[in-house]
Amino acid sequence: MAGESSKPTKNREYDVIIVGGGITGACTARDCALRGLRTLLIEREDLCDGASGRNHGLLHSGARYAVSDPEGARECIKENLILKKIASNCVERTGGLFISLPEDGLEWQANFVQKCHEAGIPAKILDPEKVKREIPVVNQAIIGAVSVPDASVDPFRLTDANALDAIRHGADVLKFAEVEDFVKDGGRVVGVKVRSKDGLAEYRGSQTVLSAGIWAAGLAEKAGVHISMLPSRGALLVFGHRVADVVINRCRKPANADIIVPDDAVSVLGTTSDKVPFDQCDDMRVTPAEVELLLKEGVQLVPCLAQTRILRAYAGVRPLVSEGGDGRSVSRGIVLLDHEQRDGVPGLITITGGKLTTARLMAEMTTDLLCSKLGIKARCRTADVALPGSEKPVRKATGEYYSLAAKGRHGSEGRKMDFTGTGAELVCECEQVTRAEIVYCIKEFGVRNLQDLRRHCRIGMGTCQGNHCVRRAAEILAEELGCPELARQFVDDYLQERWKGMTPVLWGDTLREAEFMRNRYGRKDYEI
Amino acid sequence: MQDANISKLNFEACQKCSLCNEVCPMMAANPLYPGPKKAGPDQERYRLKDPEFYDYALKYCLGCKRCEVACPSGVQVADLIQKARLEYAPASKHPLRDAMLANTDFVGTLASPFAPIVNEVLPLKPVKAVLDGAFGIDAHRTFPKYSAEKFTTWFARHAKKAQEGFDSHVSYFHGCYANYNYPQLAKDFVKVMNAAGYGVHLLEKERCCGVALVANGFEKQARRQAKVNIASMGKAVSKGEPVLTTSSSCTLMMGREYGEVLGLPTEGYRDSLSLACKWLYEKIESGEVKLKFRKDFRMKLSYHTACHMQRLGWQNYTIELLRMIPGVQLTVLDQNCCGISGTFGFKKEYYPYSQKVGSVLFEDIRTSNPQAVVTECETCKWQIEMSTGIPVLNPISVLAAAVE
Amino acid sequence: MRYDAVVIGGGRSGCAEALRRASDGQKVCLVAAGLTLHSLEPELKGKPYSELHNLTKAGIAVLRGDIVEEVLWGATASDPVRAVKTANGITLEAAEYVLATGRFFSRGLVADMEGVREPVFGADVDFPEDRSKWFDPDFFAPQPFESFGVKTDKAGRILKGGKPVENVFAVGKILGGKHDAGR
Repeated sequence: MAGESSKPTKNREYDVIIVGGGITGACTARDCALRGLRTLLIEREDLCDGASGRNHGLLHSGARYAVSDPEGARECIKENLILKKIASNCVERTGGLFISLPEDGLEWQANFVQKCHEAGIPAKILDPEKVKREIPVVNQAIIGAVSVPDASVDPFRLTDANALDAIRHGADVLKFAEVEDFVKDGGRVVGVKVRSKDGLAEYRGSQTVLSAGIWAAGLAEKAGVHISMLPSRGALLVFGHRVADVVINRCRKPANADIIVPDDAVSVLGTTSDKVPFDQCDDMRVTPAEVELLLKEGVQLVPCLAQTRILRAYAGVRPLVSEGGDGRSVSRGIVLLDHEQRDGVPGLITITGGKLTTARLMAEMTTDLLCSKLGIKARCRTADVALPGSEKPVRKATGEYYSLAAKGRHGSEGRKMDFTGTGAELVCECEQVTRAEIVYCIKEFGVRNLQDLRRHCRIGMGTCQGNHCVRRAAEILAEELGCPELARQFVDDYLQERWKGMTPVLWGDTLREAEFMRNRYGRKDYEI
Repeated sequence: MQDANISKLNFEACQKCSLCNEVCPMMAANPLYPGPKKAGPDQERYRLKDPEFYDYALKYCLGCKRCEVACPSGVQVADLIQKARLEYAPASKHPLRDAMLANTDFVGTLASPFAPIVNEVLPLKPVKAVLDGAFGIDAHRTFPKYSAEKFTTWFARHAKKAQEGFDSHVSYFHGCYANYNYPQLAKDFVKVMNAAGYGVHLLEKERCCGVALVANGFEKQARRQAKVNIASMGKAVSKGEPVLTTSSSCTLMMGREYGEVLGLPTEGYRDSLSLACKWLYEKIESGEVKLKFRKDFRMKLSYHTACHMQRLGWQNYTIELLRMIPGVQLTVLDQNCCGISGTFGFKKEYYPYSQKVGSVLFEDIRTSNPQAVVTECETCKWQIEMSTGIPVLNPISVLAAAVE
Repeated sequence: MRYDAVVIGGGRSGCAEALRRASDGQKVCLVAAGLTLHSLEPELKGKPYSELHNLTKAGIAVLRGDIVEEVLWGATASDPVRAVKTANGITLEAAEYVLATGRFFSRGLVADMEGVREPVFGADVDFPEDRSKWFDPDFFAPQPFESFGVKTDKAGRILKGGKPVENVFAVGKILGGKHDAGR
């Protein structure tokens, strides 16, 4: 991505400029590129910096929405099956359970299963006794359990893979560049003004797509368009290891903290749902009250969570849209706004709402609209063509032990890593990240600092939260970027960012780790 | 409420301080071994995700448990590794040899009646070459001798009756080594207990504690045998008798690992299971037992804390007990691993590592220049005697020689 | 086993206290959860047993990889402690006990969502109830949790329920804000 091929040129005319490099933007860029559109994707930070990287990592089967939103459920199951095929490397087929506790009763379950079947979701009622035996960590008070094809998906890798494929099909990706304003020609949006470290630049495109999640509202205002959005904050907790190998949901009306997902080597519990003002969307700290709520509910699913080490807490913000503007009819569904039709502003489209699971579909809908506007007839192929890394199944048990984790994360892309010599050196012990993987990520994804790096290879996301690898990682990054003087800054920034997630859960072993971390780095003149 | 972490074998308490790596004798000797931190808590998180993440190099773990002693966080590092090996390790390339080395009691049963022949045959070059080539047992190894008369046979014939003359009794878990290879140790135990005023009972049924079975991956058999021992020890305890042993490894296996590694219930006997030296020291300290020592006893000894003894943490009882003997000049050696690790050092592929690990200890022993080395571990005895030529005694044998 | 003093904690303060008492002629036992003074101390890197050797040479009985799990109290909590029992099943009787278990890393203090406690003797601990006051959002600023510690009287004896325990003293980092951490 950092390669010269993806560097946009100001003079180049684009068919479409996509603003917002989350999963939706990356999927849209890929779809556009596959259909031959000249495409530019702009992201103000690194890819996946917003809500796309701050969620459960759950590939919904649709079961959660079967009762309340049958259409959403149908979309989910369809996309679930597609992603398992095209993004096999980012998806782990864990399966999901919906458990009923005595206070839930079994009435909901009966209706739930019927609604799942109506939506085409293969939901199967299981014998709760058998579930208790086979998954001993599950709350042993369960009176019912239903299996559904939920899965775990790595949102970072999925976004990366889409962006990579977009680039490989001719798209440009511009990161760390913030759209300040639109270029207008009469009432028409014909491009964007972008601020980056290189200064202000202008890019022109026939169509501009806002896929910036909650930040789309603010951007749209600049084009004179009002989208009524409600930032809804969702807090989550990361537990130190896999407590269960399946996704566990509560079989009742969706509520707070009723899903736990196995993600790579950790478990993620969430989420809460609270309206927040727009000015908090850029810096979200999880509160003690949220942590307490999450834990109180989480132990209903898996009681041993009460004794499991919590690594950190984080929050993301859902872009809920209340079309009609009265705030009552809030939708979690896909919202595609053609501003030419809706507001009389040609050249601007907003895609928002939806879910991680349905991002590909959102991109397809958006690209269909773009093509019709551009008068291009091209079939969507994103449901059929495998993503980079997922082209063919990777036999994991090959080569050095420490290349296993890298190949697990990057699939067949792992072939591009050089595990010879110092390449096999383990840098992050918790998440088993080798120097080879780090160097690959720095080169492939245009990494700017350690926070970026971790999104691409999980470095520092494990038990010790970077305490042990941050220094080594900073040295490698600074060396690769050719600016050794930056190493200290990388460490400082990274620790500060990890600290933000650790402090809401600062007790038990996490407090021990914090003391250890402070002992090493607490004084600004720490050794580097 | 978030109480102390109770995740499996406490692996989440790991702070990656690496002290376990610092004390790991295998890591220092073998660059292929990833070390206890990685092999234990680090990789455990990934093994939980996918058994594919089992690292074949875990086979190099000696099971010495020095990592657990060093860990400031209470992580059961060695148990984590042992459990991973039981669960995920691929089949051995030497199934017959491993079974032979692991089944210390079975082989003992076969060998004892033919002891003179076995003892003659095992050291012979052609035989050793066959063992080396076909079985993968290193030709450098000296085999422990097998005794013609098992301890249990001797006990039934010569000692059992006399034990009934005592008012109080202890139960004795002799273990394979004292039964088949070195009955003198068990006889010494009876002598010391009798001198202390206690009669000796054997357990109703005794099987090999299984430490070698677990190390070689024979989990089912280990569990079967453990259940027999648990029942027998439980019976002895319910009669009000402590269960005493003379082997540190058997004690660690039964006292700790039956529960931690094999997941069996140990409450029925655990608090009553003790090494003879600890029990004796406590009895002497409380004034219940008085031992009279010979005035003419003179011996220069070096005490080696076996790795499993270090894990039990009871070496001070033995050291203090030996210091009670007038005429004993005792050097306490720094704790270092001898490298044999039970059956590990017998295997051809590991022999060089085994000797490399032990070299520090051998040097210390030679420097202290004792008449005998004292330790509770029988495999340390083989290794140290083979490698230094200095005789090794169990502390109970020293006491037996010193009491009047 | 009987000693003049049992020092609990094998860090810098515990080892120094044990050596000081041993040089005064006391019979000392030191209980260390892991290694004694180890390579986390920069100058001891790569020499995991160097301090152990000194302690042993000074005649100190060192229990490594062991922690005190149980306290045999006198008639009341203020009366002298009679003995302590370790996880390895060793009963230690002494005239005086020294708590040198450090802060959180070394598990001298244990925190959960509800609060902070001292796990060996249940000594009174100084800390704010509001968990958001345990830390500073700036990682590099002094952190409040680093000054948490047990309460003691003027003689250095730990307080339990507000009253000093006759023969239990605290030294080192577990003294919290009162401890001069500047080394």
